[in-house]
Amino acid sequence: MSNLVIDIKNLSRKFGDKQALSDVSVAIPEGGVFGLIGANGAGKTTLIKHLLGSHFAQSGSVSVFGVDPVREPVHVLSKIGYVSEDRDLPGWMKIQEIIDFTKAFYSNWDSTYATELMHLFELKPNQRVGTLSRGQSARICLLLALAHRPRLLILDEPSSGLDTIIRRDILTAIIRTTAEEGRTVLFSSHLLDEVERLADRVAIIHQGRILLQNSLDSLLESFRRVTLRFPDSHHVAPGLEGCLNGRGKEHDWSYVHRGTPADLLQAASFAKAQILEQHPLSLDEIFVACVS
Amino acid sequence: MQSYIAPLAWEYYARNRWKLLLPLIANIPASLVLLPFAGLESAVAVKELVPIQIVLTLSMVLIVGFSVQASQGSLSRFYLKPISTIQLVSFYYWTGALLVATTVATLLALWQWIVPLGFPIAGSVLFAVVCWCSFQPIVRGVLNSLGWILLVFVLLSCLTIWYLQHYGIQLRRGGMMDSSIHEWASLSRADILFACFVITVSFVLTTWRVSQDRCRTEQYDWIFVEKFSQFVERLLGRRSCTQKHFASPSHALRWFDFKHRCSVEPLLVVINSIAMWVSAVLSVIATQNLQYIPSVVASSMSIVAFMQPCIALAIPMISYIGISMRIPQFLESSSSYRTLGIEPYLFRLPVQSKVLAATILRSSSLSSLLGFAVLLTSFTLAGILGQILNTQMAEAMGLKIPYWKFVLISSTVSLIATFAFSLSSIAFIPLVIRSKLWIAPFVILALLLSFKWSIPIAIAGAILIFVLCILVAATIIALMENDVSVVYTLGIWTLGIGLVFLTLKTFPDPPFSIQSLLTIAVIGLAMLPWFSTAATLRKVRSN
Repeated sequence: MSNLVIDIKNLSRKFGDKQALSDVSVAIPEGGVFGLIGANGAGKTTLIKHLLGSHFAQSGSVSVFGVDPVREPVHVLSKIGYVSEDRDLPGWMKIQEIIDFTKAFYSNWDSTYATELMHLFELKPNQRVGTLSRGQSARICLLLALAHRPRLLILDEPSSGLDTIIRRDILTAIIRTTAEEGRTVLFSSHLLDEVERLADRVAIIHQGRILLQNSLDSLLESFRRVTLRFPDSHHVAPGLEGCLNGRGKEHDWSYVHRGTPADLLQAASFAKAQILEQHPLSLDEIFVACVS
Repeated sequence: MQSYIAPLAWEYYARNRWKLLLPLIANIPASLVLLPFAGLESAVAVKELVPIQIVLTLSMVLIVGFSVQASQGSLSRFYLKPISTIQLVSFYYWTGALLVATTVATLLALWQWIVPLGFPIAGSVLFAVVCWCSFQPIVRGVLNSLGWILLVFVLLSCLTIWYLQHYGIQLRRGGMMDSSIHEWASLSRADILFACFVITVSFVLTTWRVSQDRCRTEQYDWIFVEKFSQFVERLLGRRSCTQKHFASPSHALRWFDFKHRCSVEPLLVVINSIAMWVSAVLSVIATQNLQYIPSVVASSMSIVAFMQPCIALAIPMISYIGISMRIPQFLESSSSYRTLGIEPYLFRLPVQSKVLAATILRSSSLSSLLGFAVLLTSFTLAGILGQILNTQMAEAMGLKIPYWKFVLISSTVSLIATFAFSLSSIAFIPLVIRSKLWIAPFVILALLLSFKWSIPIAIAGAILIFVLCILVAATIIALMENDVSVVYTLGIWTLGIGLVFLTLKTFPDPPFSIQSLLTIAVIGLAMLPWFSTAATLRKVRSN
């Protein structure tokens, strides 16, 4: 695939005995919004830290804008805007100071945009970073990440601490605008409704492994909940190709099916089962089905 | 009903485990200062050692007190547990006092064993406990008004006067060198009464402060700093935060690093120097004799010269202890940045580790040079004043070398040691800890002892050999990684070797005395950051 902004191949990472990432491969083309979904501790932040060059690849390779972020941190970081999950900004600095300080590192810093964002986020230039609430810290982090109009915007749990209005209106608008300008957004979240609303492509990460990776539309199309009636009575869910999470009793069993409608028909006819009903799944339901 | 002591004690132990030994370990570097005196049989009689005793004890009390405080952490984690405030405070207050007393007593006994300097154990233990207890009402709540700043200063002044008064700091000729000094060897009834009073009142006040704090849900930690900052800005006539224009990333980094990491040391030297001049003026007012000013100031400044490297070492040490103890669940990356004294935010900016290292070296040099300049200015003023008033400075200070030579040596050694120690958390400690090199000095020591070297010389020799090995390795790695050029390397090594020759000339008899071995080791430590900083930063940046 050409124009890959992020190209991770067979990345594995261990911290002591804990396998944080296992054989992860992700390819993200330029433009669009990529959502990284996973439960807490699934490996989202570790994966992001590899993109920033904060962790080296123990095995496999990581390439951002065609280069290794560990070897070429300046080349990579100058094109990335990053909002970390823990919002660890220097608490002793004032908002104006941290803006002026950060500005010195980016040749394409847009001061007008920074001022606009400062007003939008209702930040006071004289306020010390250490006195900010969690929501305000998230806002200043967003400002610092956005003001140099990065080619890749990485948001690690961006909604954490943000109130509903900022989250639904402003964050959404920022992410969509960034993507529409041809730039790339990678954001991790465990709020699946948010990912469903914003992302063009998604990856589900669980226990350090990528379970699924596809465009959101394809993903939603390829999953459905089906209820089947079997001719014989069963105590446990009968196994069917492409069907997960069987629930029910005796003749009627409900499944999450992954595949095309034709695949479902084929699987049902093979098991001599009758399809009683089927309906599409939300991302939330798909996630639960995949990880449970 | 189950006792509250057992779960609290378990939580305290589980939270810290081996880190409870950090107050003891952190004082080892300070103990090295005593090595040169290890050969003295009757060190008690050497009056010049009293300032060393004072500085060592004070720095020990500071490090131990802070470590115990950090190991306890904030009590707010228990606010929602079914435990009464008085039970909570009782447990942490009394166990803290006990820990401080035990640690200080152990360390003093150890020091006394190394060098029979006549360290007063009972007095220092009592002082350490009173210090720790009297600061509890202040640190166990949120500092939300300017009044607290005043209170801290008043408390510190009272404690300092109480301490120094026991060391013969009297307003008369000779000060602490006076033959009447008793170095707090015995406790008077008044001392015990005063201590009991302070400890009891502090306990009551701490309980009250914690009960007040327990009702709050918000944390106001920064308000104290904020108000102090506003107060300083008001003094400077600047109410608003003006925009800063940095010409380059390096310019921005220099501003950031100096403000964040390096401004404290020179500021403390300035404050200490001013305090010394003020005490000298007070002594003149009391004695009505102008001639005492120069020698009193110069004697005090020699303590400041000695304290400066101690402060430089204590700041990263305290920060390391604080971070290690306050974050029980070690967050791998950000905590490793913080133990270096570097903000994690810097590693997210598009800046090369080499540039960051250069900035750190530059601001540390500047900070050490500023302290050096203040010291030298103060010494020079005292010297000039001495000449005007016809005071024989060397004689008045009990020196065996000319005054100006003493000034130059003490200020230069202080400068080199301050620079070396201020960067120890970046250039030295990670190198030793991460590569498990800490075993090496013990192996070298064992080897030297097997050659029948005396223990103090063997320790100094082991330290020197260890530092030199690390320095050579760091130089080779830096050259291989292109962190430094050959010319740069030659420059640093030439300067270092020049300083070594000067040291050998300064301490000529015997040629390799403990003083010269340790001074050369410090020179080696001061050379190390120029080669190892970039590599350490690179390693920490991508772990």
